[in-house]
Amino acid sequence: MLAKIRSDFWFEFLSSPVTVVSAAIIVVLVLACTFAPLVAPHTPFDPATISILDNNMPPAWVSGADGRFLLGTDMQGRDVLSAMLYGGRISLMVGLGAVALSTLIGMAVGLATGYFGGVTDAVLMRIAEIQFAFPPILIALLFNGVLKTTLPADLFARAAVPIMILAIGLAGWVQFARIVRASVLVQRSQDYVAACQAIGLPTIIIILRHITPNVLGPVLVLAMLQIAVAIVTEATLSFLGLGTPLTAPSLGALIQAGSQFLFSGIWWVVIFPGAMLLIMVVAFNLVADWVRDYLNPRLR
Amino acid sequence: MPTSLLKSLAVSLAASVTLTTAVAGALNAETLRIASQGDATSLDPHSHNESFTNYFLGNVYEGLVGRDRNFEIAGQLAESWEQVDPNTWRFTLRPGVTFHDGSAFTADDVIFSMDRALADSSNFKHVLASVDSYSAPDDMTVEIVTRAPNPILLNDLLDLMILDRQWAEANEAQEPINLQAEEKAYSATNANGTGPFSVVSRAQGEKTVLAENPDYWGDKGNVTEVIFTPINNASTLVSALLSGEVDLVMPLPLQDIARVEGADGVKVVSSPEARTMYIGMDQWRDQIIESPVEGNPFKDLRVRQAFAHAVDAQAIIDRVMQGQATLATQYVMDKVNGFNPDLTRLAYDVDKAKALLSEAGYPDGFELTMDCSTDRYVNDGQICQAVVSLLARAGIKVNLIAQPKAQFFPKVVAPDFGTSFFLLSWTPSTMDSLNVFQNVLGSRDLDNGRGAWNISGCSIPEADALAEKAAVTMDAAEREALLKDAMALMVENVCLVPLHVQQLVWGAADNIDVVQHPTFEFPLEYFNVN
Amino acid sequence: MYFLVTRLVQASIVMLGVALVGFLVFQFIGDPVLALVGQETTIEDREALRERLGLNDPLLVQYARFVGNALQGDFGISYSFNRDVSEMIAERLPATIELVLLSGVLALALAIPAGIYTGIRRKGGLAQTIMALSVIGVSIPSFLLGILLILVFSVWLNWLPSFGRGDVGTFLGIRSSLFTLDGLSHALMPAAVLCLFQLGVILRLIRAEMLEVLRTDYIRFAWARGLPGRRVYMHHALKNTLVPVVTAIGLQLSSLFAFSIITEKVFQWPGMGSLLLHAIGQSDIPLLAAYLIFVGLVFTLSNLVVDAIYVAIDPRIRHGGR
Repeated sequence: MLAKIRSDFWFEFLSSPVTVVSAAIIVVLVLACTFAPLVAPHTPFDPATISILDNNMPPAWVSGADGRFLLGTDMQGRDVLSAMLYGGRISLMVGLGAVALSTLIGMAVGLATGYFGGVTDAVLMRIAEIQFAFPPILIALLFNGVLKTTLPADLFARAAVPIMILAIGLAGWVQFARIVRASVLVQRSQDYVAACQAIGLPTIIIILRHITPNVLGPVLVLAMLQIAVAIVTEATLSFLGLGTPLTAPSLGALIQAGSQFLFSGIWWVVIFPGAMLLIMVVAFNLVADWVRDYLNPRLR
Repeated sequence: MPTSLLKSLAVSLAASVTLTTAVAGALNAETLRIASQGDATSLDPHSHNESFTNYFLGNVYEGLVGRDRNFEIAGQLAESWEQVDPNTWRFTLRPGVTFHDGSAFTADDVIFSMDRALADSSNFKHVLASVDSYSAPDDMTVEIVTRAPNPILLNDLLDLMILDRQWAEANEAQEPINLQAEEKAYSATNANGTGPFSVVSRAQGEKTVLAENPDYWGDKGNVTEVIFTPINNASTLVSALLSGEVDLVMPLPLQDIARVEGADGVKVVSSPEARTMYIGMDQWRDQIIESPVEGNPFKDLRVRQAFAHAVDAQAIIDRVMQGQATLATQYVMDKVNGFNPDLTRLAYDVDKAKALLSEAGYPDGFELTMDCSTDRYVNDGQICQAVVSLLARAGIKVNLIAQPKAQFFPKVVAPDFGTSFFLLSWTPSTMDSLNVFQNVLGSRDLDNGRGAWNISGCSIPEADALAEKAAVTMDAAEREALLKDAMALMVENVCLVPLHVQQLVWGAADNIDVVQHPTFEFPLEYFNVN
Repeated sequence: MYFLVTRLVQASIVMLGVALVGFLVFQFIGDPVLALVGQETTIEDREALRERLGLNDPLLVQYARFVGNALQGDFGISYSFNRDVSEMIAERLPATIELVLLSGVLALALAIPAGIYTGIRRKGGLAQTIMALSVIGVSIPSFLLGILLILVFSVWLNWLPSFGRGDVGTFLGIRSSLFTLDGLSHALMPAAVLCLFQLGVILRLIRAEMLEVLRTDYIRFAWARGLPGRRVYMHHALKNTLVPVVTAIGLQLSSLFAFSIITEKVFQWPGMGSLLLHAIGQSDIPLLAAYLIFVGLVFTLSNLVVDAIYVAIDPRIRHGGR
């Protein structure tokens, strides 16, 4: 499916302006966040460059503003724009990392269960079914909550990003396993697999070289959708105080800190990070929708 | 489904039925709706020594003595007292007082409550630390004998709440925490005191309803019902006040002061609080922890002075505390007995700080870890972040561990004292600086109950000696002089870096009259709804 | 029957696993004694309390005690509240149930007609608008939406209360805040926030199912027979979309339960979710362990029920195929 991009790909893509804009937004956001240290006007996570005397400055176009801070500063005197870029980097890191982990586990389980069947299938899919009954966000929340109460605070703060990747990644693999398994079952009954087996190709080669490329399409769609979910989950955990530390906040933690000031007239510390989070998630969702429709035109 | 769970469900439903009838019956009442960021942790007056819990319960329970409207010590359940000899105090009890359930208050209840305060699971043993024995010669008299003369026995007794023996025994609440047989402690969720208000219903973390005690012996304002709601989100708290859903918010989040001042129908009420904030440096260990530095730089006075010079406490007051605090020169505020007006603080001066660090052998500064709570003091997390960025300017790299109080306190207090740099604060509930020497400043001597909160481990034996002498000096002037000298010694040695004395800031509807005490007590009997 | 028995066995295994996690959590924490008595207690007193609480017993003894107690619905005493944990859960449960039910009903009532409409008129302007809104609906984090709603409806307009659960009324012997006007006004914003994500998901699901079904030969025949549009859509098409939708709703219900934690936090709703967050914030281990086990039980039971419904409506499962 994915191995050969259909000739109508660019035509279909370009004829959907919403998708083009969304994809452009994703590219810009990913680049800006990845290169935050180069792009951002300030270094918000370095305490030596922050002055408490600059705190709570409004955005540059509001009266009383300081030209150095385009989107204003927060209660610590951090530049909001820079904090958003650095925070967005953490959000993207967690989102992409978690989905990569989910995909890896899900593919491995899906390929193994779909291809081999039998006891492997029975055991792994039972586990998957059990986990499927628990909403991923609850699993991630409990996972983080338990770690937060048991780990020393400094360790939890230092390991916040890997912990969240682990929590969200482990919470989300089941969906991948299910769709991969379903696709493998279809592929397995195809003649080419029987042919490969007949000429004595090693199983691992059959799985990796011949079956895997054919299940990548649905995995890609799911992965795109899951990136949006993972980013929201990360933001939610951070909002609940189970995520990134005060000194290196993700977008969700920024919104949480700012929400305490929302009614005090310091709206920019919530509205800007909130808008960035929303735009990021909507863009990922729209692109994922388009890819799904492209791969499965009947749904359009 | 476990049967006991269902049973409890049924019980809680039944309980809420009685609640609605009670509320319906009090429609003509002057209701005061209070919201606060936290809730009392227990209704048991001997279980959690936490200031909010103590002062909340101060409306339900009473001690032998208490604070009057003007913050003076006055008789509550004791009508009068005399000192028979330097070690013996005789209290004459107030006649005709009844508990909320109608039973009479007698000397036996006082004896029972003192026994209970000394029980294993009590958290109030310190209030009787100076007491050798106590007895009830008759129904209306209690005698307390101290080990040595104790000039501030009355201050100590402020925190000793009196319960009814029959009620406690009938409900198996002879001890503050009843963990045997894993039964819940009845007194943790029910109360029977002599105070101006009784507890009508209680859903912890959700809503507590108090009703006036019609048989209260003293004067009280016109509040007949109090509905207390904890709201832990700052912005929700303020929107509840602005939209008229509550009448009183305490404390008011500082960032919302301007908004409340600008709104119609609500006002900001503030006064100085006896809480002094400070940052502490580990002077105890030979090797500080959670830092790559060799040895313990804080053993060098110059390093401690450098930290004091590097932290711009005024900027923290202006920016983080929104001006709602005053610079601290020492470890108590000016209304506390023993405050030394001659002391000054080390001025903010980064160059001086750098010079001192160089002299001490740290020309490029050093790196260390700071422990900080995020939900205990007003804007604590933000104060720490400001301290971190201020110290960075003097070359000190601080890794901040910001954590909820439930993790912070177990880490930093005895027995581990697991921190080398931290933010803490103290309110001497006795309004006497001896309390600070015993808990925070005195050399650690845990067996004798001294220095349990001396997390920095600073130790100035001369100051200890002065404080010990003050503890048994009955002459007020002489005693105050001793405490002032002891304080001067601590400040000279930069035992801690004092930051500020915070203001008590509440938001209230215009028609509410409140009384604020520097210890954060909220004596609702003096409040009025107009 | 065989199917259901397997499920029952599976459910018990799940519960054992959840109980193990609960116990490990219960065990792993630093010092419950400190949480219980506060900071000013001496070391000897704390040690004495440890002994009395049985925290010095061998692990296995403590584990046996834990499971035994849990089976009787006894999860111990909350460190921070000093009260029976099971009693506290029972107290908080009704508030969460009513919030989940209200938003579930709201989501279905809006999603089904909107899903059908967008499925039929998929190129129409209104349908396109609904679909665009649904993307935002599934994208916007619920805490952000909650904060914005409070800002608009409580702070700016002052129409709705910003926090808490309202007065409780009784109807047909059931006590709920949904039976009073005050209660409903308190529940409206939290329920709206909670339902929005589910609304988006179910709407998109129904639309997709409608699109699939409308392409089938079965529907083409119905058109060919000259049946009126309304009859084709409502009778033939909708009926066939509902089976997968009903199964999905089972899953959405548990997801509502999970998301209610966030909504409860934003709106100070006194339910199970705020209890969990309190437990995490206060390191209240008995409460956390009990919540884990309780939620495990609820989800396992609700899954059993959903499975039983499958068996009832889909004969293929009854005969062992799946």
